[in-house]
Amino acid sequence: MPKRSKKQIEAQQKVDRTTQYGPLDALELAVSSSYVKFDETVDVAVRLGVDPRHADQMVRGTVVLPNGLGKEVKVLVFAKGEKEKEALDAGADFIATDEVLEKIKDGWFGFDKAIATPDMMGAVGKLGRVLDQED
Amino acid sequence: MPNAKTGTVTFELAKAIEELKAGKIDFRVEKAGIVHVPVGKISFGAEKLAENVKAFLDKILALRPASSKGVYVKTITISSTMGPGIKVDPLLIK
Repeated sequence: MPKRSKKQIEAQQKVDRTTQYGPLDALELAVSSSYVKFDETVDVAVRLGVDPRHADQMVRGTVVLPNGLGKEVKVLVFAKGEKEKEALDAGADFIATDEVLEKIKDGWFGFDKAIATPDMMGAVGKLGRVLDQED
Repeated sequence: MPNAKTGTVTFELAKAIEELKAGKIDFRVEKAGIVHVPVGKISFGAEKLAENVKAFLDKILALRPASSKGVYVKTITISSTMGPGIKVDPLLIK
């Protein structure tokens, strides 16, 4: 049995493992039981009654959180010409120039998300394996 | 990795960038049938977090595959990075 810290035990005691809380109560509890010196990320895990081994029961999607993630997201954009300018105007952090592509191959990952225009997917494909690991 | 399924291969760059910056998350059910997502930071406070959680759960419910049988949302658990897991009643989220 690994040793648990005093603070950890204290936090655990605030939570009744057998109760199912209301959503707001649960979040209040999470906020009030936080005992560390940094701004913790709150995660949600949902167990679904699906079997993802069946292709038709795959659940995947995206959602824009109304209050954001509380984290600055660095965006890398694969685009050229006019689209490159559009991306920069919209707040892209990096444009995938040849130089940047080289850097990524060498293991640079200063961005969180990558976006591409369809005509640039060829360039993206070359980096597919490296990029997959990251986001 | 840009992927058409997550909306990151598009000509509407401005919109895509804006959404990502605003806190767009993508999720995928993993092999055991569980979906994990971050929904914000402790400093947001419970109410803002609840709004994020709700947005996410609504999406999950909307994505229910027609072929899934039985109970769709079995359990919901909320936890902070180092905090204890807190169970949420799946019947209360509808």
